[in-house]
Amino acid sequence: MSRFPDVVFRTLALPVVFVLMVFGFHFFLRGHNAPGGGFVAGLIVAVAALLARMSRDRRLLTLPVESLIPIGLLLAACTGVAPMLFGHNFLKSGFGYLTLPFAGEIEWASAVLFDAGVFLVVVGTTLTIIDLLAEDVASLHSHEDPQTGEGS
Amino acid sequence: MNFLALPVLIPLVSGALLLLLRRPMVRTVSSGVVAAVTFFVNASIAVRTWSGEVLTAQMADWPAPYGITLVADGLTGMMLFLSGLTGFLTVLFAGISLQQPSRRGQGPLLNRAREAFGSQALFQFLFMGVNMSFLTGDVFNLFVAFEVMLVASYGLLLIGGELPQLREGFKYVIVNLVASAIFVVAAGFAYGLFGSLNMADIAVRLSASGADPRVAVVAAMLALVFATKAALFPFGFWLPNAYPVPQAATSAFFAALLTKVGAYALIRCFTLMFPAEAELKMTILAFAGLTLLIGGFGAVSRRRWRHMLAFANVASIGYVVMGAFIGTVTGMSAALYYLVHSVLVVFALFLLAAIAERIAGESYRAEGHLDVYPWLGAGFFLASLALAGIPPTSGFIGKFALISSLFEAGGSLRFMVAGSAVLTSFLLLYACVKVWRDFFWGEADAVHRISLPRSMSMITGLGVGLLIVLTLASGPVYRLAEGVAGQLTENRSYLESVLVGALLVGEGD
Repeated sequence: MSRFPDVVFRTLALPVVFVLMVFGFHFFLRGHNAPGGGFVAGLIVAVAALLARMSRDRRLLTLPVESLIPIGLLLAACTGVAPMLFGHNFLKSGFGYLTLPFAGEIEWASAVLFDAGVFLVVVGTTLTIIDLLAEDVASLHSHEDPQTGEGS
Repeated sequence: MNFLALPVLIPLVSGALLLLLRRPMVRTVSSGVVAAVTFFVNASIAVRTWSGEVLTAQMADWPAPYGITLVADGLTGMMLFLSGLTGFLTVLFAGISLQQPSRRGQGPLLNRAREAFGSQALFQFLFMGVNMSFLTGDVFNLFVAFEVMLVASYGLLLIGGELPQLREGFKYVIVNLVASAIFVVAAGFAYGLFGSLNMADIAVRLSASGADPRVAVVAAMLALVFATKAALFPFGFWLPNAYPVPQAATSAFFAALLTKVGAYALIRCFTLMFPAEAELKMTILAFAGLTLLIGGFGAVSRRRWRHMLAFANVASIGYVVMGAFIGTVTGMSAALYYLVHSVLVVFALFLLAAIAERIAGESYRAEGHLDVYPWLGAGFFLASLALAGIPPTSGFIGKFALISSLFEAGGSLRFMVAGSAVLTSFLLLYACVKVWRDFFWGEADAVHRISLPRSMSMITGLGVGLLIVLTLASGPVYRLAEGVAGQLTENRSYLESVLVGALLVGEGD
């Protein structure tokens, strides 16, 4: 994939990537009781990864993104299965409260692991799709090259 | 009853694991093992339900009607057993056939690429969706199950990317997307109307509230969706060209079981939630009669193996839906018996077609194969007798029961449907005779001689053997079908097990 030529875009992209990451993390956590959650957070982070890739010509994630899909699925499934080992029904979420310094009392729930699985699946799927499309476009350009002299 | 989630969970986890495995041999072996485990679990659930018990599991301990409920009654047990059995054989057959060329004149590379790009994992996700749609107790979760199943089936239909696959796969995706959209709208209407999506809860509320024209609209929308999945007459145009295009094991499982999921959903919907919609049920019966004719005439008209069988499969769906919508208990039990028969016979025929295509290519107009492949001929002979419904086969028993219960119920529409059922049987017989004449008879000079892998023939033999077993065990299977039909007509035990401890809203006011 070639570098995006616009200077403004290239300069701004990196700060935006970090803002998006934090924003995605915030959405991930607030999803427990409010709109948000692993799915939306996954989309936001995938957009951040895409931005980074377009501006720096380098991947934010070096591991093969398509392997995130089965890992996420397994994480979500195992979170569902875990309560069965304790005699509860499938998908039963454990929760409780703990007090942290500065943050005060917060609620924890085992459902967050399930959400993390969803997050990984969404990031993996989105980036895999984008990768495949980008490969297609790149191969189109490389075909164009000898005939027209254009393309990247 | 945690154990009810296992038919969904095992394929989910194993599908994800299969995506991580790198070596083809390991993938093939482990998917076979997992499919065997799923079959075992499905069969043990089925055996428990056949005693008349209704098993339920409330996901995440949320009680019905608020949470997701998994329910297994006799019908679910029957379908789970069939899906486990055919799923196991499909995975085994795929494991072998994916190392082979699909048909004469093709190299093995395409099928190996299909395996490498996750055919086996897609099969597991398909089983997950299929099992979930049999187990689920609420309408929205049924939608989710259909989606899981459909997304996996898109993958399986398109993997390999041959031209017919892309052409037919495009239509298949569009048709199913539209159907799914209607499904979700219907689920929304149902929630607005009943305030619940739990099927048992809807049934209780409906029986308390009485007739309402809006209910008929929701019922008609759901019927339209399920009829599309089951390829019933006006909505089944996508099936006959789509099912012959993917690899052999895929089309065998699609034809044997995936269309029956639509039939299952129709039966479940109209026995549990909308048993009072008499006109709609009559319309479906009439459409089933037309589906039969389409299937019969289509099967006669096609000259390629799986194209002919895809139409035969349409006809078999017609028989099942016809029996289920006669409106009597005898009709329902005949339909359920025929359902078992049709899953097994269609599956066996598709496996036989896979071998025939491997030998001679897609068309069946290549004479003289009986001399060289006598066992293929024997298998096809048995399976085609069962398909057409010649006595002593299980097809005869099923069709006899279906047609006699049509006459028992009476009415001019039912007589006409019975007429089309008889005519379709003759048409199917004619289609099979044509195959027999064009493919098996004649001089064996030009026959392409190849050595088939023994395990491929053995699985196909097992598929045909299951038909013989079904014929011999007709008595017990028919009694089982009667028991299940009785349970479907008298819904009391289903409702009580699902809504145990829940507020029975309808009975309160």
